[in-house]
Amino acid sequence: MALDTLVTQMRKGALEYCVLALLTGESRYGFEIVQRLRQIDGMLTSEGTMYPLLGRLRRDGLVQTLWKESSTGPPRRYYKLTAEGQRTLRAFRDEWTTFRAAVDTILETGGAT
Amino acid sequence: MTAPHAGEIVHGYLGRLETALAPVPSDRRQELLEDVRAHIAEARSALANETDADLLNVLDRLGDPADMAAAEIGRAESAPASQRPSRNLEIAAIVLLLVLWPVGVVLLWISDAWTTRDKLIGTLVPPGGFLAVIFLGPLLALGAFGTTCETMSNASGQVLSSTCPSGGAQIGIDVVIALLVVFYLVGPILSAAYLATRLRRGRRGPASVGRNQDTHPMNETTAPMVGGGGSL
Repeated sequence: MALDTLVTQMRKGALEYCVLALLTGESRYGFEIVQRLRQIDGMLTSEGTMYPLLGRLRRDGLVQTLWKESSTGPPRRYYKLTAEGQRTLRAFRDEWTTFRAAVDTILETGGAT
Repeated sequence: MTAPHAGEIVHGYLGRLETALAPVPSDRRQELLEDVRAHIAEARSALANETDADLLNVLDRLGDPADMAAAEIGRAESAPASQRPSRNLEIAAIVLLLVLWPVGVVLLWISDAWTTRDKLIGTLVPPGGFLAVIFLGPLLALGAFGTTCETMSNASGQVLSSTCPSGGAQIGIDVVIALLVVFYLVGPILSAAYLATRLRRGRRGPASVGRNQDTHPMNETTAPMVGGGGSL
């Protein structure tokens, strides 16, 4: 697989877990999530695709939505992590940590033990 | 202050998005349009003195409506060409079915882009493809014209003897031959066109949608690597 394809796939795959992580301890609305990810280079190329992703997370029961009044405009749809979402995020965190450590070890030592 | 052409710009974008989302169920489509409308409103409220360029910038960051539709439907967002499955085998199969049928059939059955039903249609409509015409051609010609018949009649027009099949039978044979000729001339083209449309549909059809939704690309990509990482 070409490297740029791999990087695209990895970003895309990690994105939904980054969204779950953004919702830890605090519910956020769509535009806010997009803005936070925008500040991190390369995580989000087409911002509009965040909304289908959020919809999928809700269908999968990882987040739930609620409407909250806004002081500046119409009510906003907020996303909140569910218990299932928290479990999924924990599982990803474990896998990711192991994976990252493994790759780092090989990249740094060339596999020497 | 609003951008001079804000109305047209936003309306145009939402229109394109709605068109792109046509395959999505209507309640979900409305929800996504609502999300994007809210997104645009949020982005605009942050602009003190918006220009058309600002607004276009907001929409540019939102991205191609097709990408959003693809994300909703479950395909990878406008994947680079290298990521799209190559269709060379299938194209070769369709072309060879027309010009070199036996090889075309082999490729047709090797490919996994068609269902068994499609493959049967591709194989049997018509069996042999155009190649069969080479063998069937002389046979058909024989059927149509080979039955040279002689009719002997006397001066008053009375038929004395005839080697011709009776009129009805000859018409029957002619009709069958005509149908065979049409089947063999038109069949391969219809069959190739059918396979081509099935191929195009397969790319965005419900089957591929389901597959992509269930297995996220990340799972496929990293699962083996993560597993391998444990034994390092």
